[in-house]
Amino acid sequence: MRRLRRMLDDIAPPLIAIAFALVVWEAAVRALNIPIYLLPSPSASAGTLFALLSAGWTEPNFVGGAPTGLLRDAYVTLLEALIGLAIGTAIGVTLGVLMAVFRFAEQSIYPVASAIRATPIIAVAPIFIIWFGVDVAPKAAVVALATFFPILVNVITGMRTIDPNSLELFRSLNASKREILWHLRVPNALPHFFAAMRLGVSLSLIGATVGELVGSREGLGHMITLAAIQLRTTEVFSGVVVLAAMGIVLTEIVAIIQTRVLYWHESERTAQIGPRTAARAQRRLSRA
Amino acid sequence: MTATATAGSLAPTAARDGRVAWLRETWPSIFGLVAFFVVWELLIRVTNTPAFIVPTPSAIVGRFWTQLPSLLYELTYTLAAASIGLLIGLAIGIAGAVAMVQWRILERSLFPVAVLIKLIPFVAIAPLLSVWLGYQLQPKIVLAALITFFPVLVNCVTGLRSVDPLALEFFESIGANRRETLGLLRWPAALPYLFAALKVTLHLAIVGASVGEYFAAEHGIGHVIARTSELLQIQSLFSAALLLVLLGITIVVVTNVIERRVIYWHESMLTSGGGRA
Repeated sequence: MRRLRRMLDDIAPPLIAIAFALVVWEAAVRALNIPIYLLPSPSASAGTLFALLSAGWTEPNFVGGAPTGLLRDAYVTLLEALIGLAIGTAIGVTLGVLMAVFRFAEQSIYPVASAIRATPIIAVAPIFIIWFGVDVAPKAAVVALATFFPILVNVITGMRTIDPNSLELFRSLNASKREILWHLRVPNALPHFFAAMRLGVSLSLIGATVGELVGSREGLGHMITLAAIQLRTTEVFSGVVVLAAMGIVLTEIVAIIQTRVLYWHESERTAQIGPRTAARAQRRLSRA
Repeated sequence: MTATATAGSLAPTAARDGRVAWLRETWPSIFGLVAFFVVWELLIRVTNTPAFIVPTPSAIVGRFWTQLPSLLYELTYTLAAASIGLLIGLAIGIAGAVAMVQWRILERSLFPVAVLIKLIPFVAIAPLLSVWLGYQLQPKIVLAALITFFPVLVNCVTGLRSVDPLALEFFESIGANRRETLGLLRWPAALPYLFAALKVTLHLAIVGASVGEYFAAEHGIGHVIARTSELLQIQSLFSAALLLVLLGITIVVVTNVIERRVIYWHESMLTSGGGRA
């Protein structure tokens, strides 16, 4: 019961804020008579969103250009993002471990990697589309390019910043290099890795969308571009809402996996109390 | 003052070995870069790959050099849009974060919403923004500002909140007012978080501005990329991309230098030994 109330306490203010914003928006659109192609009201956008979602899954036929369902577009974008993220993670982790273990690898690969990282995805997206076509492959490549670097950097940092005392303990127990790697460096790198994954998830959606804006025949980016050019603004909003929902769900999934894997880590153990409860306890203490 | 003192105490060891140490430190990096380009060049030449698929690095650099004046001219448009948008997003983001920390009700109602909105890939609305705001700089500025605003806001609030409770108690006990607590305690604590946000958003602001230009523009690097890729002028496309890479590297280096200057006192700087962040 008390837990329920506390949850309500946390959720109620943002919900009220969102509701308030929607009401103001709706009222403004109605009162000022703003045309629907310029700025649709939330209710009109919601209507389109539901219509598109219930249209569901139509296989695309590229000849006639009939609109595919929103779910199909979402699926394509998700596929591109996830394949790219998987490739980017694999490359990032492999290089990261290599570079953390061998100093020469770090020094020689790092500049090349950071040059690749510094390449804005908009510059490589057209190149990849010319190379790999207009379907999933070029977007996955863009996503991989955008995501590998944060993962690489965090894996290196995580494997390097180990507690000197733990390292000494391992050495005093005559641990081999491989044992230090598996039982000390890798566990230490995991929290850093998950932090990078959370960034990687949002970068992967950005990468997939930019790839689709540049050249595609399905996917949310494609659907949003077409709708914007044809002034079907309610559809633009529906696409953006679905994209946002995907971002939120993916980030949440990473967070859930993180709490499962890192249950032993201090950041998770303190998080169980919750920052708000901790702040409340702190205030109570300071008042006493 | 303290900065020079800290640097001074570390400097002698570095200065003594001088150039030899520098060479020993950097030769693998130079080796890596050179090897990368040599392998690229050789692969293209040996396999006889046509230049319209992958040009050689030497061809790209040649094209880059001849096009540099016009590329730099286009770059000013991109940079203007990105930096104006960035400044707007940064200013509103910081102001919003300070407001949220001062008034709890704002934080409780809006912060969770901001955390969610931060996850929207805003580049997706680039087409809509150019429909709304036209072909000029405005849609690119708005996009860059949107991309910057939410990460800055979220990180700044987190940073302003991340003060040591004991320090906060100490400030209260000596009767510091709100402004003093904010300026002397919370703001310095927020700076590392702000730089973390900046490192991501600087890059994304340029991407946002270029994506806006890719769609609808008369100038800008994004526009050049769109035009050259449509015409399959791969060498020009690569040389425009090269300019963005150089810009990206410059931004990373400049941010790191500024960061080291501004938060030299932070533990992340002290432990990294002045190396790369």
